[in-house]
Amino acid sequence: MTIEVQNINKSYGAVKVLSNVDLRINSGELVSLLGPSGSGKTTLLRVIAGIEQADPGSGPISFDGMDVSGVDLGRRGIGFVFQSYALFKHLSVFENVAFGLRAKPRRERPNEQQIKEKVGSLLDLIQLGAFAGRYPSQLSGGQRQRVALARALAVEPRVLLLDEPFGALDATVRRELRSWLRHLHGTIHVTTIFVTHDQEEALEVSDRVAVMGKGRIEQFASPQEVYEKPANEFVFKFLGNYNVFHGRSGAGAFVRPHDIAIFRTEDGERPDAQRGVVWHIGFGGPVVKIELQSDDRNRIDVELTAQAYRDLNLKRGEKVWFAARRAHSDFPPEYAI
Amino acid sequence: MAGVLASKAPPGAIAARPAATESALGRRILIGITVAFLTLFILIPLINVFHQAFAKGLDGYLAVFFPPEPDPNAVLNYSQKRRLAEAATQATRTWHSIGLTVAVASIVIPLNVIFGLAAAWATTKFEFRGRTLLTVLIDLPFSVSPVVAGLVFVLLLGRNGIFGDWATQLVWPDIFSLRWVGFGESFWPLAFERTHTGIIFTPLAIVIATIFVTFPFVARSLAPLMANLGPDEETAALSLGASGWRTFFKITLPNVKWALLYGVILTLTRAFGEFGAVSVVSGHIDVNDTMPLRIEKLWNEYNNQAAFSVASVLTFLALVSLVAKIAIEWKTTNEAKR
Amino acid sequence: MLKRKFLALGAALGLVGLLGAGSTAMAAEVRLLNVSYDPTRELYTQYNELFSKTWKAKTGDTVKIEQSHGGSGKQARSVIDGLNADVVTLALGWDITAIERAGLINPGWEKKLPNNASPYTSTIAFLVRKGNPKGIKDWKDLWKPGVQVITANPKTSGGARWVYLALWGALANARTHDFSTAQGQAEATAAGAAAKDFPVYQNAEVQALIADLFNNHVPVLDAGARGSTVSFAQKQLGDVLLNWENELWLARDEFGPEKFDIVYPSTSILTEPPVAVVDKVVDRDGARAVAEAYLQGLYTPEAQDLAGQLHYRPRNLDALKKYSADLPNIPFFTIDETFGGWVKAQTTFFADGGAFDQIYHPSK
Repeated sequence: MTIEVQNINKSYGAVKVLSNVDLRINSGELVSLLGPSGSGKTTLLRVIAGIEQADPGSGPISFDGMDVSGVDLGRRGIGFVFQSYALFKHLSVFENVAFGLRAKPRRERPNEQQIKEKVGSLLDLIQLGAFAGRYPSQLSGGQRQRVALARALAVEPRVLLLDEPFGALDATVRRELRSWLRHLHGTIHVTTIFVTHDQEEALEVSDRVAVMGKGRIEQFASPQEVYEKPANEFVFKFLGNYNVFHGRSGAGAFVRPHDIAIFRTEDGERPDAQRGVVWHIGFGGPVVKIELQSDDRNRIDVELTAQAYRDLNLKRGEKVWFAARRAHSDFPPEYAI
Repeated sequence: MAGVLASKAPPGAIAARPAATESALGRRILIGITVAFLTLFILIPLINVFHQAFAKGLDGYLAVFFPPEPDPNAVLNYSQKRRLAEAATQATRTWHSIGLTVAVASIVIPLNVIFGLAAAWATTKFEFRGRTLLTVLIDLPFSVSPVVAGLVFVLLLGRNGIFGDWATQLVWPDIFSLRWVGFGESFWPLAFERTHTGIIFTPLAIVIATIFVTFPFVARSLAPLMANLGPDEETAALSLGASGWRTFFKITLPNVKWALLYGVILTLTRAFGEFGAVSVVSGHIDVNDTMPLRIEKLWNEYNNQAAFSVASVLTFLALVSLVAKIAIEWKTTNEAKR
Repeated sequence: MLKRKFLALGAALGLVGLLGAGSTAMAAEVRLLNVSYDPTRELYTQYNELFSKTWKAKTGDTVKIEQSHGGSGKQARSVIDGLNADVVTLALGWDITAIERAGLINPGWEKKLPNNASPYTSTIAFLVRKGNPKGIKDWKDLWKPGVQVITANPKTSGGARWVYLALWGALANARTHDFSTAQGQAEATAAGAAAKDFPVYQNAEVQALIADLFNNHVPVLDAGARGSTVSFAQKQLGDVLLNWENELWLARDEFGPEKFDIVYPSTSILTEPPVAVVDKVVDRDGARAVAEAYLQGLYTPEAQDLAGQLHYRPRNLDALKKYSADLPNIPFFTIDETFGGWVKAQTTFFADGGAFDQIYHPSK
């Protein structure tokens, strides 16, 4: 199902959290809303869900071309997953998943046998088939979030809305669930919007990423494009660490840590190379993070592959040369906000 | 009281308590003072209630509620007959007061459950102008002296009150006087045998006054829990297509059921024990006596045995509700840990 | 919020009221509410049985009499506020006058029944601890050093107002009559009707004595007559209790004659607790006949005997004589002759800012 929102505004009192947001999501797509806290991404998701109402005068919220902005939350055909899981504590896993089925109007409500089958197959899908009788308090965080997802899927939503679904989980479980979600989406192809503040998560999982800042969408493109060709300084800065190089012209240039090369000797091919001292070496598995101090007393973060690091054989306190392989300096001027 | 449920610290918080810094002597003195105080002001009076009630043994105690039947063959002189008749009258009045107390509580509790749920819901789930004022209003009965509360209703509903003209003319049936009268007089076979005129100084006024003094208990027990619960679970239910009612009964209510029961127990205890407000609006009519009013009258009639016997019933109920309260607190703590 | 809640509740109940009102034609059972003062509970519990029996025998109807007892002034106030009393049997005429002024009782009520509408009388006497250790025999003994006097608050208690008037009249040597004879009663009534000026009110010496008594000999003022008896008998406060005669007898009977003695002073006041039908209520509820019969019944020999038995002084001289061992004849002065009636006594002594407020300073 395609989702299209136009000119969405939302304020809480005097605080404007969404301004003139336009977004068009294709059917079957998995889209991330990525941004720092306070960027309005969760609000946008809740407005699409119908949990919050956009300010009067906002444009339509269309599902497959039909405006649903006047339709109740429960009638929009969405599945919503909360960061807090919001599982029903007093109901078993089975009853949690069955809740939406039992809440259907009498005419559409499946019978007990159908409910059993449906819930059973969903529990198999989330690999919790043996946990039907358990209560949420007896599950791990990751299991709870999978139950929440199964519960949302039980009503066969036209769109799945996930609000920082993995935000409360530890790193390992997050990574696991992330690839599981990608896999799941590959199986069921339901249009999915996924809110996160984790760049890595957004880039890895999504078909497209909408980077949000201060209530507006700064860039909406594929992960690669967002990363390689950030539309503006905000997007660039938000998507990862960076160093600022001040060229002789005085204009600043932004350089990602992995776009810096380190040399042991002065290289004739790199006349722009500068001198620096190895200040700190941090091992990060496949990537080694080197902290340099340049001669003009700036801190420079560099990321080397483990192989490159071994080849260079760097030690703390050593004097080295470094230079940017690739810099971003051609951003349009920032909006005055 | 109502805050007990809300102030439950998460399990981890216990470790954060600072180690005792007082000296051993200071600690002993503090514990000693507390124990002495509780013994003097709570334990001894409490034991005394039962001691007085059973001063003439179990027979004396039971005679208050079940007066001795005279032996039909016995020849009794006037004063013996008089004493038997008096005991029977007193027991009838006592039973009537017990019945009225239970009736009032059974009307007040469902109403306060509805009002309390609505009030707790309104003040925790919605942001609106005057919310703080509403919260203060809900607590008002706690800060107003019950006697003043009673007088307020006299001033509202009394003959010279704001609603006096209407409230003293209102004719309403005594719901406990509903009787089967057959189809002789009309197509409707049930009729009330008794009506009351006016509100103040009738059992209805006792219900109103009791609602007033017990109103905060349910709302206050629920509010912290509802506020902590947050709206996510309810939103989730709504997003799954559940109606508002279904969400309330299947999700909200099960989540607050212990707090609700807790509030109901507090309401019940207070409804049974309330004296001041009820005393003012009862008009001192014997048939309007609830148990506490009855106790006072028995005491004023120098009938210590009966006064303490009825008091022991109230005290016993209070102890039972205390145990129930502790059980609920224990249960909710355990559930929180799970 | 409260208001809205109340209105909704009222509306709901009002609806029930309308539905119910239509279906209450049959009432073979008559209900009567007698609103009375504290000490009469025992008297009316027994009289109600008596009256129910006679009424049933006479008319075939069952009459259920409900009782309400409390401080006399408070009870009058409740009736004014809407307590549906069919009859009031209060401690003193002023309280019925107050109800009359609220428009619920027609003027002239005191003439509708014999003896100023007061079917039984009583007086104010002393209750002391057994053996009378402080030697309290007459009014003047109350001022003995170290004597503590228990009485109720004249501002709230009818009995205590009578105590106050008894003190005042006795100290001022009010003119007394012999109420054990018909002749004495007639003289007293005539003197009461003829009295024009009341020098007791100007007696500064008496006023000073009474101020001294309340400020220095009275440790506590209970709100009601019964409360003061409880203070004296049950809580063991004070050396002497000033109260209704019948109240003293009740305490003596309840706690045992080995605990207390009743002491009669040389003179005292004739207390006349009046009774009246509440016209507005009985006319609305159609209960006038039974209410009037109820009060008239208080003058029958059986009721008079009952009153004497419970230590009220019957108006009926035969009954009075029968119980004269317990109710010794002492010279009595009356409120009408000595103080010019209740309206005058009330406004002078007990109204807000009246004499009692001026003399009594409990902080001392």
